[in-house]
Amino acid sequence: MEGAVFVKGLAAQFLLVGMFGAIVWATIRRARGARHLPRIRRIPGLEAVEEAVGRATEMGRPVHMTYGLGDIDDAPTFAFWGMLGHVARLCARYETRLIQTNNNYLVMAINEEVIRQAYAESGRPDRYQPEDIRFLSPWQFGYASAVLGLFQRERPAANIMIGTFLAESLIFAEAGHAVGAVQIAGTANTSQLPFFMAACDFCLLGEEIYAASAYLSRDPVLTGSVVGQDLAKIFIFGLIIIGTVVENLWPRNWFWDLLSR
Amino acid sequence: MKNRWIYVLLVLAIILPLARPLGLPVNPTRETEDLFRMVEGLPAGSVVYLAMDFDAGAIPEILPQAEAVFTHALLKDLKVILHGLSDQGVLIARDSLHPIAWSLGKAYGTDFINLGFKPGGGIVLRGMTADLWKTMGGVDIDGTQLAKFPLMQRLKRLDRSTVALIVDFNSGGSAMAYRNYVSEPTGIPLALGSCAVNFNVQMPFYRSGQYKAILNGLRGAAEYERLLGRPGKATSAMDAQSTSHALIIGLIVLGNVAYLLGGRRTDKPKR
Amino acid sequence: MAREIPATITVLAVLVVVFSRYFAVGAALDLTRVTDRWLMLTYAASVFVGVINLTRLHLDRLRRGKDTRSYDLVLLFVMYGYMALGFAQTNAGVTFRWVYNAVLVPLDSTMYSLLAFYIASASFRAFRVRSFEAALMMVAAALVMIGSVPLGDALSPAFPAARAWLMRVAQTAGFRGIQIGAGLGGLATAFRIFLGIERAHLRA
Repeated sequence: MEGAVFVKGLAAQFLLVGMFGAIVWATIRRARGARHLPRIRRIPGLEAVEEAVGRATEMGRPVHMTYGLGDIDDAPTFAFWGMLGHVARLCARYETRLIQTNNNYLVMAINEEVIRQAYAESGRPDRYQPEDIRFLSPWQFGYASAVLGLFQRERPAANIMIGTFLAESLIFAEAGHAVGAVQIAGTANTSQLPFFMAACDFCLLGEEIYAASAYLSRDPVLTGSVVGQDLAKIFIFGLIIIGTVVENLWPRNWFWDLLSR
Repeated sequence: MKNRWIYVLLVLAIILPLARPLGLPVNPTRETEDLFRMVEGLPAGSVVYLAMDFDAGAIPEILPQAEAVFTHALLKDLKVILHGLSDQGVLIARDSLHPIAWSLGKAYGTDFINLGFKPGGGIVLRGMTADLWKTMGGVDIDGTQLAKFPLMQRLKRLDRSTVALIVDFNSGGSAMAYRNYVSEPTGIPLALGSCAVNFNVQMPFYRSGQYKAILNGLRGAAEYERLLGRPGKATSAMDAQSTSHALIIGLIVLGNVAYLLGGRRTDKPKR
Repeated sequence: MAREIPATITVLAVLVVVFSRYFAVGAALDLTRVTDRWLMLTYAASVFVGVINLTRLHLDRLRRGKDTRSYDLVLLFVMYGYMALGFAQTNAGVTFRWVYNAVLVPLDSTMYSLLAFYIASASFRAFRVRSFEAALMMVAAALVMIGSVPLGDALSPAFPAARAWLMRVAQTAGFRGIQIGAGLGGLATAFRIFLGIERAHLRA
């Protein structure tokens, strides 16, 4: 019967995604009325952001931020925006220059707004410098070489890299190391995590980047959504364990049929 | 040790074996054999879709893979579609793969075609599964009308009945787009030609059967050349990879000896 | 309004995509074909945003007489010159292709090749045996590296076998854990955007 309602083979997926969403939504609703903020475990990479900006201020050198090769519809780019607003507010408060480099025109347009708004919220709209939000190149290695040059000229004291990274990750990280920058990196691209682990001071692993905006803003609703995300994850991992056991004991059985609907 | 000395040693480790090859044999792995067997098993006239989703930087690793698979497909009298989600990949194909086809006596538009590049990533792929001609604007890489090519007459969209195999030669995230937007909805088998650095990311999907085969960087190309019996660029470059890997392992050991002898003075707290 | 309009468009777009993907009626209507076309047009048009930004930045620097003037001039000349060449010849033009093959391809390859040097220096620095875990990582890395090249095959069949096990079993298990976690994190972010809670990008 469900074939008439759902596209064949996607009913179970729709229901699973729906249940995941329902759990996140329920915890958000609960967090709205709650008095106590749910606690997120300590994430050293996020705690180090303020210290890194402070160090740049003391040294009189800029902070550099990039989202790598992320596009406007990539989830890590949204994580980057959460972090960008926070860093821009810190830079405005400490009167430190923020250089933000881009290889995607659409993302850059939003970055300009995020940074402009952060400076305005911090009461320092005069310190907003549009020329420090730079479009460098849409080509991966054109962008990488431009960032290399920029690091040599501007010598940032902090380099924050959150987003989607490919082969250029190590180029950025080694260039940052060469100029003595404190480096905080985070990505969901598993292939680049080893490079960031090897070359950066702090590394956010996979999903940790998605907790950034909640962690940094201490917003109860956002924090509630992270708790919901973890509960939903426990639910999904439970399903994975059941699926593994059932599939190994009775291959292609009812559980398989259920998830294939 | 100063970085510049490491760099000098690395340059020597790469250049010397290129000048004087060691001739070490390359044994094919299961991931490469799977692709070779798939191409070998296709009946003549089947359409193979080669996605040229890599940039110029990845030429040394990926182009030898594409050349080997393209040559194999044409030798088997398969029809080949070249396309790219990277603007550079299709231009590289035109300069490197088209001449291979000419040398094998194959005709453009009948035995192979290059559809060029369209921006938009996964959206383009989704469009191609619905209406290939419309998505490509009705023209090939040089702006020639698709209606003029015999090969395109039976290719109105990407689906299981028209395309027998997709091989995505990629240096980035396009494999996921092919998996989500083409292979899973249509059932067309998907194999990859991958940079060595991305091989680990793609391996779990090979293990789950979502990718039918993976060529692993330059080694994958050399293995394919060996299976094909036509040693080429990749085979001759593998010795340089052997010596450079050996050098890096040596440096790691040396670094640890210095670190331990130096009383771990240079240790930087890991946070 | 500056926040409400984009948030409303987001919700509508999500509903269209979900309706078209999961529901038989939606799939038949194929509304995403329209939204896909809008997105493709937006991508194509957005190229000009980048060109305008680069032009504005470098003209401004030229006007201010910064010491990077010659670089600014080179950049503007190359950008507009190559664009004009492309319009005049299309990408099949002899000069257009020559510039591409003789300049862009080697430059791009050079940048990628730099990675080899960075990997050498980073691994020299990073693989120090600070702890048991670091030692384990170093041994695994060495086995994968030697097992990946013909030298490993020549030394002993144990090296490629160890590499194959590490890649197919050990790293695949670890990767799946991180990737499923990251995927679900991404899904939760999508829900936050849909529910209008994640608003970092709507600061206008």
